Amino acid sequence: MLDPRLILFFAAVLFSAGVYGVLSRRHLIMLLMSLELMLNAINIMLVTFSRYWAGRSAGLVGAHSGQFFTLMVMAVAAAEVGIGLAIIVAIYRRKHTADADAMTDLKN
Amino acid sequence: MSDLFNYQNPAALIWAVPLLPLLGFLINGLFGKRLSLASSGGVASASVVGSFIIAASIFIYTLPNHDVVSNGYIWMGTGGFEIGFRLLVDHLSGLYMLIITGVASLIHIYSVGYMSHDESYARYFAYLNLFVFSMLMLVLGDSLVTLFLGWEGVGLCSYLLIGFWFKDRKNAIAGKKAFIANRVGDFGFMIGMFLLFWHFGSLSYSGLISHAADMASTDTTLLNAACICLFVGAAGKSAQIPLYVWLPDAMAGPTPVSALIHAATMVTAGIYMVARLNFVFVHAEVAMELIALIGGATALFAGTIGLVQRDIKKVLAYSTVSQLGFMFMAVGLGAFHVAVFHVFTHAFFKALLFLGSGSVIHSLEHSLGHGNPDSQDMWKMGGLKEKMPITMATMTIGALALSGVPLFSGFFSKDAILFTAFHRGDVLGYLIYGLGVAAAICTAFYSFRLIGLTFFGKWRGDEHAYAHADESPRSMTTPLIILSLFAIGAGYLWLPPAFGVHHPPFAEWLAPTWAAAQAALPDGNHFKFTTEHDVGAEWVNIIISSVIAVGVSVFAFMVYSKPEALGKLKKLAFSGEGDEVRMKPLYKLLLNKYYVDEIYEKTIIGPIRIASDVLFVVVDVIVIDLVCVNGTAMLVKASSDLGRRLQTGYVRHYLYAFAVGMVILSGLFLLIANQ
Amino acid sequence: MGLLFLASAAVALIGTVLLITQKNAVYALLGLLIAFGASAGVFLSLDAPFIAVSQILIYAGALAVMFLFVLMFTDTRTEEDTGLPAAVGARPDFDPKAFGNKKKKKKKVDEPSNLLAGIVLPKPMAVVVSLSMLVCISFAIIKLPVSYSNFGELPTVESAQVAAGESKPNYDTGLTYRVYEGNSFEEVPRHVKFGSTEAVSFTIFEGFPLAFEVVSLLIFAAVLGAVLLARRHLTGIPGTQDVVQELDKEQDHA
Repeated sequence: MLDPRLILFFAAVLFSAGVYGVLSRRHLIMLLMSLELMLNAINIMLVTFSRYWAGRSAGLVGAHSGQFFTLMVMAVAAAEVGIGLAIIVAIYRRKHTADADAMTDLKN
Repeated sequence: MSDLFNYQNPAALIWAVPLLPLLGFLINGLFGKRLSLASSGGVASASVVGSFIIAASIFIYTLPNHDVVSNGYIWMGTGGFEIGFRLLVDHLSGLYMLIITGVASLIHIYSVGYMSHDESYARYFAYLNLFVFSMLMLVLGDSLVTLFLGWEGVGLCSYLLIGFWFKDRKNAIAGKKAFIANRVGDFGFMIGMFLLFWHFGSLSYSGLISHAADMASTDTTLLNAACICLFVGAAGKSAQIPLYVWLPDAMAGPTPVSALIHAATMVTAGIYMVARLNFVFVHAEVAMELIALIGGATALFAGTIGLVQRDIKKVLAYSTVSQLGFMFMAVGLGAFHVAVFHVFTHAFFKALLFLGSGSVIHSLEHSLGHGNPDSQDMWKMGGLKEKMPITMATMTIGALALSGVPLFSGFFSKDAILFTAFHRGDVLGYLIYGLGVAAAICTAFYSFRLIGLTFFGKWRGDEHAYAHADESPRSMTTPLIILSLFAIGAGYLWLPPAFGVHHPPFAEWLAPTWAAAQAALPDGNHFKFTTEHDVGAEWVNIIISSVIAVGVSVFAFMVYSKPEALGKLKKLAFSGEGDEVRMKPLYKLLLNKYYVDEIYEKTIIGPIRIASDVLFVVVDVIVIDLVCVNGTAMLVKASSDLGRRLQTGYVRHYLYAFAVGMVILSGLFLLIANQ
Repeated sequence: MGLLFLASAAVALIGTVLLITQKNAVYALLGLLIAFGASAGVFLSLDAPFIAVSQILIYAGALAVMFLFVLMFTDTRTEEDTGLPAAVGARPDFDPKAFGNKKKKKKKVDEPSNLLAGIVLPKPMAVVVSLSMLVCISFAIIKLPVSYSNFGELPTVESAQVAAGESKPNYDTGLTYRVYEGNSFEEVPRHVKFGSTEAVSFTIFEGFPLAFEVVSLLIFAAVLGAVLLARRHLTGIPGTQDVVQELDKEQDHA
């Protein structure tokens, strides 16, 4: 039988990789992709907990709420990517670059 | 709620009494510039007259049966402490309500004519309406807090109206003086309020009156302190020594304002407050004796100053101070109903005298120009009876009432006060009686000096002005006539027992107001009203005051109606003739009002000014401006110059900060959670 | 189960490594795609088939394609291959315009031709921060109660409708459906399996209908926002404002 903590640890690794990606990459799209990876890691955790509670007689809605939240995260992530990519396109038109380090308008 | 205040609650209409003038104020205050003169004055007058009609109907139909507590809401409520915003109309406040709205109605109508040439017509009526509203809130509120609200409101209106012609610097200063003197009083008033609240835990009349029975056993030091503090407030508002100085200067405002605010209504607010809290005051004997003494002193002091004033309004102003002194004499002797009776009669004849003087001034200002001091100088008048017969007749009635000539209203009320003092029968009583009689002599003298100088004899001023002097318009003379009827008739509501009247309607009417206090007083107390009357002593008293009033009046009239002819007598009189006056030391002292203003200037205002200069430099400039204000700004600037460098503008740096912060926070959380 | 998870996890990790190391954005996107697909396997191993399918539809399908589109719109070479120093370490005199010009002058010379050639070197700061975050989360996982050592058995309900050999349903929804049985209808209780589409939809509409509706509003708003932000110059339409043009104007004034 699988150990839930192993799956959680796997998700944690994915999450940290996402954090690393967000912190190290300079292209805005790469930032967004790493962000998606982090969200995906969270989804895995949520589904793990959902399965965990299903094994502990949590009732139909209770056991599935983790999965429901996963769906919510997906929806929000989709919305976020849509907006994020639109912003990137708008920025690219204006600055002719998608390098995060070129966006220093907030300086000082 | 005590039983006394447990009324049925029929009259939602009560709210209309104060709110109508407020509505008038809002209309005139907000849209005044767009209104025509007629509609502006019309709205203001209509609102007050409407208020008067409602007040009168409540007074006639409801009050004889039961008192009225209006609906309201909780104004402030914290825990067990609660102040309601309600109106209470009982026999005392109902009477005041009627006086205020009645006199105010007449004065509004009078003002339509008097102010017709003023550029700030709407502003004037807005202030006047606001005053009526505040005054009604003062008397109708059911707690000391609501009273204080109105108290401050009338103070504000008084300030605004004294400084109404603020373009003239001296008027603005007069307004400021009134305000500051009132503030001093208000401070005392608030301390008194706090003391009462501290001890009785309530500020509403019903809450306080429920303690009426156990006041006798209350610590008298506390009661005396509270009552003296409250009296300081009353002295500020009602112009008693030592805070009276503002009232004579308040004559800088328009004359109808002097009539309404500084003679008939606002200045009697102090009496109202003391009368309202009679059940507290009767137990504070020291405070009461102080009040009586200060009242007597003020009556004589102001009366003597009034003897020599040249300005027609100044005479009336000092007369008002003096009459207020009479009222406080009565209050201090525990005869609250007598004091209220004097308030009642005084409201009519003093308003009448002021409006009459306004009529004279208005007539003379036509040719002399607005604000010309000659238009108020009695020594520049004379013989106006030919030109202004109605004004002359009505003002003479007012002067007769003021002097206390028998069968006029002032006679009955003043006589009642003097008899109360006489009847007390101890040293204090006789002292007060002496002061009162002396003040009454002054009163009769300056009243007929005023009448004689203004209306009789020969014209001493500018010939051109005399030629153009004319009777005032109908809107001004009608209120004069109505008021003169009251000046005669008001006194008949309380004929003395010597005349065989044992249940005078006025005293009967007010009796419930003191019922609680009387019930709580032990027998033999000075303030216990007795039903027995020494008719003989009363007759003696009546005869003495009648002789004084008539004799002095006739003497003064003789002297001043023909100052040219009676040269020798004139020299005996306190004042000389016109500008070539022989400055006798006493005369000079009186003319300069005992130098009180100068003394205040030297002893109080001077040191305060020096102290404020020091405070200005040390506290304001150095501590507040330099250290606090600029220092804070500089500190913020310096720290933000440092903090600015953190804002590199690179998204990554923010992300790093965010991630590191999250690691630290979650790490801390885990450490704490797993300990 | 275990095997499926281990295999999927391994693949997902490979995809992740690809994502965070590849210089070429298209390759990185490929890594993301692999990670997402493998995550779907993980979901399957966790008895969540509906989520697994949604994962593939939404992430691997829609999002990845969207990313690819935008990658085509923009210049993917703006990464480290331009040779500019990283932001960490501060570049106070950085001028984005000059940056843009410089980039344009530089022609495509070192486009990585294979996966191994285009690896970005790891950034020490980012490694430290992300590793410490991993340590934090791992610590939290280790501190979980002992009950987290196994998943436990899924519940079962006895049902006559289950044929021999079929897996048993887990939950009774309390609902019934009608089955035409001979000449009459028969009310049959409705049983669902954990993670099935039926079970998830029951959760959505019985448990969280409001959240569901709100999210639909959110997506609607996102669609509008995306259209507004990304459209080209649409001038002259009353009541609209062209963000890009406004920004350009602003820049011209400055």
